[in-house]
Amino acid sequence: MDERSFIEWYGLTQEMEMASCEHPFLHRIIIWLRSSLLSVILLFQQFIASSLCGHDESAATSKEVLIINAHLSKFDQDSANIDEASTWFLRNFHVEQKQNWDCGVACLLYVFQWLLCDNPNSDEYALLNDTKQEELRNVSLWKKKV
Amino acid sequence: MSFPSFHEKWILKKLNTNSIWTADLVALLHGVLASNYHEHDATSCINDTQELLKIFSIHQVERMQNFSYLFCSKNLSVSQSYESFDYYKTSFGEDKMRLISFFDNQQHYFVCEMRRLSINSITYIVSSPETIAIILLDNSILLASVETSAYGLLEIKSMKSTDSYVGHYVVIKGISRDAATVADALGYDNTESFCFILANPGSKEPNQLVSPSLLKRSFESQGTDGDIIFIRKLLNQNLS
Repeated sequence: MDERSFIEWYGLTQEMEMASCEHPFLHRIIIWLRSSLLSVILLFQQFIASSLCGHDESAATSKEVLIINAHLSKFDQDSANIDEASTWFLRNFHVEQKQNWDCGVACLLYVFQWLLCDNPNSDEYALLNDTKQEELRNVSLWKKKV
Repeated sequence: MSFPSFHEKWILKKLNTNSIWTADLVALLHGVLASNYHEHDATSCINDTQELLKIFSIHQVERMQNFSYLFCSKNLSVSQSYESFDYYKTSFGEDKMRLISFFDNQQHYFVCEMRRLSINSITYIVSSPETIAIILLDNSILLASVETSAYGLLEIKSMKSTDSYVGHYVVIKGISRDAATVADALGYDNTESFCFILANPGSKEPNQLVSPSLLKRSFESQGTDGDIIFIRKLLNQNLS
Protein backbone atom coordinates (compact mmCIF):
# COMPACT_ATOMS: atom_id res chain seq x y z
CA MET A 1 0.00 0.00 0.00
CA ASP A 2 1.60 3.29 -1.04
CA GLU A 3 1.16 6.50 0.88
CA ARG A 4 -1.65 7.81 -1.30
CA SER A 5 -3.64 4.59 -0.96
CA PHE A 6 -3.04 4.63 2.75
CA ILE A 7 -4.30 8.21 3.01
CA GLU A 8 -7.46 7.33 1.07
CA TRP A 9 -8.05 4.24 3.16
CA TYR A 10 -7.35 6.01 6.44
CA GLY A 11 -9.65 8.86 5.41
CA LEU A 12 -12.43 6.41 4.61
CA THR A 13 -12.11 4.75 8.02
CA GLN A 14 -12.14 8.18 9.65
CA GLU A 15 -15.40 9.02 7.89
CA MET A 16 -16.85 5.71 9.03
CA GLU A 17 -15.70 6.44 12.54
CA MET A 18 -17.33 9.87 12.49
CA ALA A 19 -20.54 8.44 11.05
CA SER A 20 -20.68 5.79 13.74
CA CYS A 21 -20.28 8.21 16.66
CA GLU A 22 -23.92 7.80 17.64
CA HIS A 23 -23.57 4.01 17.87
CA PRO A 24 -20.97 3.30 20.56
CA PHE A 25 -20.65 -0.42 19.78
CA LEU A 26 -20.20 0.11 16.04
CA HIS A 27 -17.85 2.98 16.77
CA ARG A 28 -15.66 0.71 18.92
CA ILE A 29 -15.61 -2.03 16.29
CA ILE A 30 -14.55 0.38 13.56
CA ILE A 31 -11.75 1.80 15.70
CA TRP A 32 -10.58 -1.71 16.59
CA LEU A 33 -10.71 -2.86 12.97
CA ARG A 34 -8.76 0.13 11.78
CA SER A 35 -6.16 -0.28 14.47
CA SER A 36 -5.74 -4.01 13.72
CA LEU A 37 -5.55 -3.49 9.99
CA LEU A 38 -3.07 -0.69 10.47
CA SER A 39 -0.83 -2.95 12.56
CA VAL A 40 -0.95 -5.69 9.92
CA ILE A 41 -0.16 -3.27 7.10
CA LEU A 42 2.73 -1.75 9.03
CA LEU A 43 4.15 -5.13 9.96
CA PHE A 44 3.97 -6.18 6.32
CA GLN A 45 5.60 -2.93 5.18
CA GLN A 46 8.36 -3.31 7.74
CA PHE A 47 8.93 -6.91 6.65
CA ILE A 48 9.24 -5.85 3.00
CA ALA A 49 11.48 -2.92 3.93
CA SER A 50 13.77 -5.08 6.02
CA SER A 51 13.90 -7.75 3.30
CA LEU A 52 14.69 -5.28 0.54
CA CYS A 53 16.74 -2.66 2.33
CA GLY A 54 18.15 -4.50 5.29
CA HIS A 55 16.63 -2.19 7.87
CA ASP A 56 13.17 -1.57 9.32
CA GLU A 57 13.47 1.88 10.81
CA SER A 58 12.52 3.91 7.81
CA ALA A 59 10.83 6.99 9.19
CA ALA A 60 8.78 7.25 6.02
CA THR A 61 6.99 4.01 6.78
CA SER A 62 6.45 4.59 10.46
CA LYS A 63 2.93 4.47 11.71
CA GLU A 64 3.16 7.94 13.17
CA VAL A 65 4.37 9.60 10.00
CA LEU A 66 1.76 7.87 7.90
CA ILE A 67 -1.03 8.87 10.25
CA ILE A 68 0.10 12.49 10.58
CA ASN A 69 0.61 12.84 6.84
CA ALA A 70 -2.76 11.23 6.23
CA HIS A 71 -4.44 13.81 8.44
CA LEU A 72 -2.53 16.75 7.04
CA SER A 73 -2.92 15.70 3.40
CA LYS A 74 -6.50 14.57 3.49
CA PHE A 75 -7.50 17.76 5.23
CA ASP A 76 -10.68 19.12 3.78
CA GLN A 77 -11.31 22.77 4.41
CA ASP A 78 -15.05 22.31 3.97
CA SER A 79 -15.05 20.22 7.11
CA ALA A 80 -13.45 23.11 8.95
CA ASN A 81 -16.50 25.32 8.60
CA ILE A 82 -17.60 26.97 11.77
CA ASP A 83 -19.22 24.53 14.14
CA GLU A 84 -20.90 24.77 17.48
CA ALA A 85 -17.87 23.61 19.40
CA SER A 86 -15.43 26.20 18.16
CA THR A 87 -18.04 28.94 18.26
CA TRP A 88 -18.76 28.19 21.87
CA PHE A 89 -15.08 28.00 22.63
CA LEU A 90 -14.15 31.29 21.03
CA ARG A 91 -17.12 33.17 22.43
CA ASN A 92 -16.17 32.13 25.91
CA PHE A 93 -12.78 33.75 25.61
CA HIS A 94 -14.44 37.15 25.58
CA VAL A 95 -15.02 37.30 29.32
CA GLU A 96 -12.96 39.91 31.09
CA GLN A 97 -10.01 38.32 32.80
CA LYS A 98 -6.45 39.22 33.43
CA GLN A 99 -4.56 39.26 30.17
CA ASN A 100 -1.24 37.61 30.06
CA TRP A 101 1.39 37.52 27.35
CA ASP A 102 2.39 33.96 26.75
CA CYS A 103 4.85 31.96 24.70
CA GLY A 104 1.92 30.13 23.09
CA VAL A 105 0.56 33.41 21.75
CA ALA A 106 3.98 34.30 20.39
CA CYS A 107 4.10 30.95 18.59
CA LEU A 108 0.66 31.53 17.07
CA LEU A 109 1.76 34.93 15.84
CA TYR A 110 4.79 33.32 14.29
CA VAL A 111 2.56 30.77 12.54
CA PHE A 112 0.28 33.48 11.13
CA GLN A 113 3.26 35.45 9.89
CA TRP A 114 4.67 32.31 8.32
CA LEU A 115 1.37 31.57 6.59
CA LEU A 116 1.31 35.06 5.14
CA CYS A 117 4.91 35.07 4.05
CA ASP A 118 5.17 32.90 1.01
CA ASN A 119 5.96 35.75 -1.29
CA PRO A 120 8.97 37.96 -0.56
CA ASN A 121 7.41 40.76 -2.63
CA SER A 122 4.25 40.89 -0.59
CA ASP A 123 3.41 43.64 1.88
CA GLU A 124 3.19 41.08 4.66
CA TYR A 125 6.76 40.05 4.06
CA ALA A 126 7.87 43.51 5.09
CA LEU A 127 6.29 43.00 8.49
CA LEU A 128 8.96 40.48 9.34
CA ASN A 129 12.22 41.59 10.81
CA ASP A 130 15.40 41.51 8.78
CA THR A 131 16.71 38.33 10.30
CA LYS A 132 13.57 36.43 9.39
CA GLN A 133 13.72 37.75 5.82
CA GLU A 134 17.32 36.65 5.56
CA GLU A 135 16.38 33.28 6.92
CA LEU A 136 13.62 32.82 4.35
CA ARG A 137 16.11 33.64 1.61
CA ASN A 138 18.40 30.98 2.96
CA VAL A 139 16.65 28.11 1.29
CA SER A 140 19.28 25.64 2.35
CA LEU A 141 18.14 25.98 5.94
CA TRP A 142 14.51 25.32 5.06
CA LYS A 143 14.67 22.69 2.41
CA LYS A 144 17.04 20.20 3.90
CA LYS A 145 15.52 16.77 3.77
CA VAL A 146 16.11 14.07 6.32
CA MET B 1 10.48 39.10 17.64
CA SER B 2 8.39 42.14 16.89
CA PHE B 3 4.85 41.87 15.63
CA PRO B 4 2.17 44.39 14.72
CA SER B 5 0.28 45.25 17.86
CA PHE B 6 -3.17 44.74 16.28
CA HIS B 7 -2.40 41.09 15.65
CA GLU B 8 -1.25 40.73 19.21
CA LYS B 9 -4.37 42.40 20.60
CA TRP B 10 -6.65 40.20 18.56
CA ILE B 11 -4.99 37.03 19.74
CA LEU B 12 -4.94 38.17 23.34
CA LYS B 13 -8.62 38.99 23.11
CA LYS B 14 -9.30 35.50 21.84
CA LEU B 15 -7.03 33.82 24.32
CA ASN B 16 -8.28 35.81 27.26
CA THR B 17 -7.17 33.48 29.96
CA ASN B 18 -4.53 33.37 32.65
CA SER B 19 -2.98 30.14 31.54
CA ILE B 20 -2.84 28.90 27.99
CA TRP B 21 -3.13 25.23 27.17
CA THR B 22 -2.40 23.58 23.86
CA ALA B 23 -6.14 23.12 23.29
CA ASP B 24 -6.49 26.92 23.44
CA LEU B 25 -4.01 27.32 20.62
CA VAL B 26 -5.78 24.62 18.62
CA ALA B 27 -9.13 26.34 19.11
CA LEU B 28 -7.75 29.60 17.81
CA LEU B 29 -6.09 27.98 14.80
CA HIS B 30 -9.37 26.24 14.09
CA GLY B 31 -11.22 29.53 14.50
CA VAL B 32 -9.10 31.12 11.77
CA LEU B 33 -9.83 28.23 9.42
CA ALA B 34 -13.49 28.23 10.30
CA SER B 35 -14.22 31.91 9.72
CA ASN B 36 -16.07 31.95 6.47
CA TYR B 37 -16.02 35.47 5.07
CA HIS B 38 -17.89 34.44 1.91
CA GLU B 39 -21.02 33.47 3.80
CA HIS B 40 -22.14 36.53 5.66
CA ASP B 41 -25.61 35.09 6.05
CA ALA B 42 -24.20 32.38 8.29
CA THR B 43 -25.05 34.10 11.54
CA SER B 44 -23.11 31.64 13.65
CA CYS B 45 -19.81 32.86 12.34
CA ILE B 46 -20.50 36.44 11.36
CA ASN B 47 -19.06 38.01 14.49
CA ASP B 48 -15.80 36.15 14.29
CA THR B 49 -15.53 36.86 10.59
CA GLN B 50 -16.19 40.56 10.99
CA GLU B 51 -13.69 40.70 13.78
CA LEU B 52 -11.06 39.02 11.62
CA LEU B 53 -11.77 41.38 8.74
CA LYS B 54 -11.25 44.41 10.97
CA ILE B 55 -7.71 43.27 11.50
CA PHE B 56 -6.72 41.42 8.38
CA SER B 57 -7.65 42.15 4.78
CA ILE B 58 -9.78 39.58 2.93
CA HIS B 59 -6.70 38.68 0.95
CA GLN B 60 -4.74 38.08 4.14
CA VAL B 61 -7.53 35.98 5.66
CA GLU B 62 -7.68 33.89 2.49
CA ARG B 63 -3.99 33.21 2.67
CA MET B 64 -4.05 32.54 6.38
CA GLN B 65 -6.74 29.93 5.88
CA ASN B 66 -4.64 28.03 3.41
CA PHE B 67 -3.28 25.51 5.88
CA SER B 68 -4.01 22.24 7.59
CA TYR B 69 -3.21 21.37 11.17
CA LEU B 70 -3.09 18.35 13.42
CA PHE B 71 -2.89 18.38 17.19
CA CYS B 72 -1.15 15.26 18.56
CA SER B 73 -1.01 14.46 22.25
CA LYS B 74 -0.55 11.53 24.58
CA ASN B 75 -3.44 12.72 26.65
CA LEU B 76 -6.62 14.15 25.16
CA SER B 77 -8.20 14.97 28.50
CA VAL B 78 -7.61 17.28 31.45
CA SER B 79 -5.15 15.82 33.92
CA GLN B 80 -5.91 16.76 37.51
CA SER B 81 -2.20 16.44 38.27
CA TYR B 82 -1.56 19.89 36.78
CA GLU B 83 -3.65 21.59 39.43
CA SER B 84 -0.63 21.97 41.69
CA PHE B 85 1.65 23.41 39.02
CA ASP B 86 2.41 27.10 39.63
CA TYR B 87 1.56 28.13 36.09
CA TYR B 88 -1.90 26.56 36.14
CA LYS B 89 -2.72 26.92 39.82
CA THR B 90 -4.55 30.28 39.83
CA SER B 91 -7.08 29.44 37.17
CA PHE B 92 -7.17 25.66 37.04
CA GLY B 93 -10.86 25.40 37.94
CA GLU B 94 -11.84 27.76 35.13
CA ASP B 95 -9.41 26.17 32.67
CA LYS B 96 -10.69 22.74 33.50
CA MET B 97 -14.25 23.58 32.45
CA ARG B 98 -13.08 25.11 29.21
CA LEU B 99 -10.80 22.18 28.39
CA ILE B 100 -13.38 19.54 29.26
CA SER B 101 -15.67 21.18 26.74
CA PHE B 102 -12.88 21.13 24.15
CA PHE B 103 -12.08 17.46 24.67
CA ASP B 104 -15.76 16.51 24.77
CA ASN B 105 -16.07 18.06 21.33
CA GLN B 106 -12.71 16.93 19.99
CA GLN B 107 -14.29 15.27 16.97
CA HIS B 108 -14.91 18.79 15.60
CA TYR B 109 -11.21 19.57 15.67
CA PHE B 110 -8.25 17.91 13.99
CA VAL B 111 -6.73 15.96 16.84
CA CYS B 112 -5.00 12.62 17.14
CA GLU B 113 -4.01 10.73 20.24
CA MET B 114 -0.42 9.49 20.01
CA ARG B 115 0.83 7.52 22.99
CA ARG B 116 4.41 7.87 21.92
CA LEU B 117 5.41 10.18 19.13
CA SER B 118 9.07 9.67 18.25
CA ILE B 119 11.53 12.42 17.47
CA ASN B 120 12.28 10.59 14.20
CA SER B 121 8.70 11.05 13.10
CA ILE B 122 8.65 14.71 14.13
CA THR B 123 11.90 15.21 12.24
CA TYR B 124 10.48 13.62 9.13
CA ILE B 125 7.32 15.74 9.21
CA VAL B 126 8.96 19.12 9.92
CA SER B 127 11.75 18.57 7.43
CA SER B 128 9.19 19.25 4.75
CA PRO B 129 9.53 22.97 3.89
CA GLU B 130 5.77 23.49 4.02
CA THR B 131 5.34 22.10 7.54
CA ILE B 132 6.17 23.62 10.90
CA ALA B 133 5.06 22.68 14.41
CA ILE B 134 4.22 24.32 17.70
CA ILE B 135 5.66 22.04 20.35
CA LEU B 136 5.41 22.06 24.14
CA LEU B 137 8.79 21.59 25.80
CA ASP B 138 10.07 21.51 29.34
CA ASN B 139 12.02 24.74 29.45
CA SER B 140 13.90 23.75 32.57
CA ILE B 141 15.68 21.12 30.47
CA LEU B 142 16.28 23.50 27.58
CA LEU B 143 17.49 26.24 29.91
CA ALA B 144 19.93 23.94 31.64
CA SER B 145 21.72 23.62 28.32
CA VAL B 146 21.45 27.28 27.44
CA GLU B 147 23.02 28.40 30.68
CA THR B 148 26.07 26.32 29.98
CA SER B 149 26.36 27.41 26.35
CA ALA B 150 27.69 30.50 24.65
CA TYR B 151 24.17 31.58 23.69
CA GLY B 152 23.61 33.80 26.68
CA LEU B 153 20.68 33.68 29.03
CA LEU B 154 17.13 33.40 27.85
CA GLU B 155 14.47 35.79 28.99
CA ILE B 156 11.61 33.91 30.51
CA LYS B 157 8.72 36.18 31.29
CA SER B 158 5.74 35.09 33.31
CA MET B 159 7.04 31.56 33.31
CA LYS B 160 8.90 31.49 36.58
CA SER B 161 8.02 28.53 38.63
CA THR B 162 9.11 26.62 41.65
CA ASP B 163 8.23 23.39 39.85
CA SER B 164 10.98 21.54 38.10
CA TYR B 165 8.79 21.35 35.01
CA VAL B 166 8.38 24.63 33.10
CA GLY B 167 6.05 24.32 30.12
CA HIS B 168 7.14 26.41 27.16
CA TYR B 169 5.87 26.59 23.58
CA VAL B 170 8.30 26.99 20.71
CA VAL B 171 7.94 26.66 16.94
CA ILE B 172 9.97 24.05 15.09
CA LYS B 173 10.70 25.73 11.77
CA GLY B 174 12.66 22.90 10.22
CA ILE B 175 15.95 21.11 10.40
CA SER B 176 19.47 21.73 9.15
CA ARG B 177 22.11 19.23 8.11
CA ASP B 178 24.75 21.86 7.49
CA ALA B 179 27.77 20.67 9.52
CA ALA B 180 28.69 24.10 10.89
CA THR B 181 25.09 24.81 11.86
CA VAL B 182 24.69 21.41 13.54
CA ALA B 183 27.87 21.93 15.55
CA ASP B 184 26.43 25.18 16.93
CA ALA B 185 23.28 23.49 18.21
CA LEU B 186 22.43 23.39 21.91
CA GLY B 187 23.12 19.95 23.29
CA TYR B 188 25.29 18.93 20.31
CA ASP B 189 27.24 15.79 21.20
CA ASN B 190 29.41 15.14 18.11
CA THR B 191 27.30 12.21 16.98
CA GLU B 192 24.27 13.97 15.54
CA SER B 193 23.98 14.75 11.87
CA PHE B 194 21.25 17.36 11.99
CA CYS B 195 19.67 19.85 14.34
CA PHE B 196 16.28 21.48 14.78
CA ILE B 197 15.76 25.14 13.99
CA LEU B 198 13.42 26.73 16.51
CA ALA B 199 11.65 30.05 16.85
CA ASN B 200 11.74 30.36 20.61
CA PRO B 201 9.76 33.29 22.06
CA GLY B 202 11.98 33.12 25.12
CA SER B 203 15.20 33.49 23.18
CA LYS B 204 16.91 36.57 21.82
CA GLU B 205 18.12 34.48 18.91
CA PRO B 206 15.75 34.47 15.90
CA ASN B 207 16.92 30.96 15.12
CA GLN B 208 17.66 28.73 18.03
CA LEU B 209 19.49 25.56 17.06
CA VAL B 210 18.78 22.53 19.21
CA SER B 211 20.12 19.00 18.94
CA PRO B 212 17.65 16.12 18.49
CA SER B 213 18.67 14.55 21.80
CA LEU B 214 18.01 17.77 23.74
CA LEU B 215 14.68 18.33 22.01
CA LYS B 216 13.74 14.74 22.78
CA ARG B 217 14.49 15.15 26.49
CA SER B 218 12.59 18.46 26.66
CA PHE B 219 9.63 17.02 24.76
CA GLU B 220 9.40 13.75 26.64
CA SER B 221 9.57 15.36 30.05
CA GLN B 222 6.59 14.61 32.26
CA GLY B 223 4.21 17.53 31.97
CA THR B 224 4.28 18.17 28.23
CA ASP B 225 1.84 15.34 27.49
CA GLY B 226 3.66 15.04 24.18
CA ASP B 227 1.66 18.03 22.89
CA ILE B 228 2.52 19.13 19.36
CA ILE B 229 0.54 20.91 16.65
CA PHE B 230 1.69 20.33 13.09
CA ILE B 231 0.80 23.09 10.65
CA ARG B 232 1.14 22.59 6.92
CA LYS B 233 0.76 25.18 4.19
CA LEU B 234 -1.52 23.95 1.45
CA LEU B 235 0.47 24.94 -1.59
CA ASN B 236 -1.70 23.34 -4.24
CA GLN B 237 -4.59 25.73 -3.96
CA ASN B 238 -4.69 28.73 -6.22
CA LEU B 239 -6.10 31.67 -4.38
CA SER B 240 -7.19 34.73 -6.22
